[in-house]
Formats: sequence, structure tokens, C-alpha cells
Amino acid sequence: MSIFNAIGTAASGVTVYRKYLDAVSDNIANMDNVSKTSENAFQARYVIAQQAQDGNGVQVGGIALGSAEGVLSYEPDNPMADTEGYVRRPDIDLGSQMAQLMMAQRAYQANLSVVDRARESYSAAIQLGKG
Amino acid sequence: MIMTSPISAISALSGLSGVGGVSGIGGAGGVGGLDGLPGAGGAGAVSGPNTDFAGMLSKGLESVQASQTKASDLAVQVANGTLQDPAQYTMASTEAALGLQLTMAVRNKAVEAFQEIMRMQA
Repeated sequence: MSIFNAIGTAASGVTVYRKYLDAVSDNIANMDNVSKTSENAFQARYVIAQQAQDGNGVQVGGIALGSAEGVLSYEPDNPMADTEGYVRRPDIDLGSQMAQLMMAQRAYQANLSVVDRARESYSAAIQLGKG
Repeated sequence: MIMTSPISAISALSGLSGVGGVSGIGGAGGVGGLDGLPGAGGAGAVSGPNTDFAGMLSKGLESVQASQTKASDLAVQVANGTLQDPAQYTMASTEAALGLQLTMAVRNKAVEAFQEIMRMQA
């Protein structure tokens, strides 16, 4: 990172929250997946955010996975059901995912507004040099 | 040359060819203090091997050249459809545009100083 550090730092935040949005959208898209009881359920994705290695901003440290066990649900009519009539569904709560979606969206916007303010400030500083 | 004249500042600028000459600037002068938030002791950063104005100028030019290159790489990705996040491009181009504005501001100042000296009566 060189000059205009604030922009680079906020850009790292934008990237992280974009990935958070991606993860939440993946979770919501796969929310109703059904799998056999002999297989793993869809595992929710959670982004691990951590301070960037160079100390400027944030980075994605990895992805944590939700429960592979999921939730057993009794659906004897389902073609995927086992002999006892159970299928496996992912353990994802739509309410929680929607709340996380809002957090990710607002944080993404917050970082972009930091970029905007930083641009305005730097422009003002350059304007000073032109006088 | 410890404290170089404005004239050498201009030659440092013209030393860079083509777009680079115009698009550079970066951490010129006191701005160097902004590099790296942690450590880098604020205004005291103007010491060491970078005291030379022309040296700082060309270092700054290189950094802005790099931001221009990054922005144009991202522009190619936009055209390809391989860009994952549109904000990446808009932020990179914002940074490159700011760098260019700063270059022009410093260049104009240097030229102004040069002309001021040229107008001096013997």
C-alpha cells in the first residue's frame, strides 16, 4: 500500500464483505437441499475475517463450515428418505442468514462510503496544492 | 544533491517516459509521512535516503504508475467479464485518478518555481 492508504484499507474491507455476501447467498441458495441420511448435509459457510498481514485493513482468514450432520427430518414420501423415512436437511436458519445479509450489505456500503470520503479529502488536499 | 533545485525536480519528471511522466507522483515531499499507518513516525518520515526531493519524486511516480497499471488491468477484466467485484475497479481507478491529480499539482508547482527563477533579474 502506498499513498492514499485509506482507500486501500477500505478496499480490503469491501473485498471481505463481498465475500461475506457471497457466503450468505450460498447458504440461502442451498438452504433447502435434501440429502440422504448416509451423506453429509450442506454445510453453511462462514467467512473468518482477520486483520491483514501488512497491518492495513482486513482479510479473509478462511472459511468455517457449519454442521455436516444437519437436521434429520421425517419425510417418508421423499424419494431420498431412508428405510425409516428420514432425510437430512442443512442446519441453516433463514432468519439468521437474513440478519447476516443485512450486516454484510451495510458493512460493504460503509466501507464504500469510507472510500468516497477519503477521495473527497484527498481531492481537497490536492486542491490546496493547486492554489 | 541534498536540497535539489526546482529545476532538477522538473528533470526528474521528464525523465519518465510517456504516460508515466504524467501519471506519477505518489509520496512526493511531505506526503511520504502518510506511507504506512503503523510506525513510520508521521512527519518525521522525511529522513534517511529519501531526503532527496528528486528521489522521492521518482519513487512517487513509480507508485502512481503502479496504480495506473492496476486500474487498467482491472478495466481489461471488466471487459472480459472476469472481474468479481465492480467496486475493485472503481476504487482502483479512483486511486489512479487521485494520483494523477497529485502529479499534476506537483508538476505545476515545480514548473511555476522554475519560471519564477527564470524571471529573476540579474
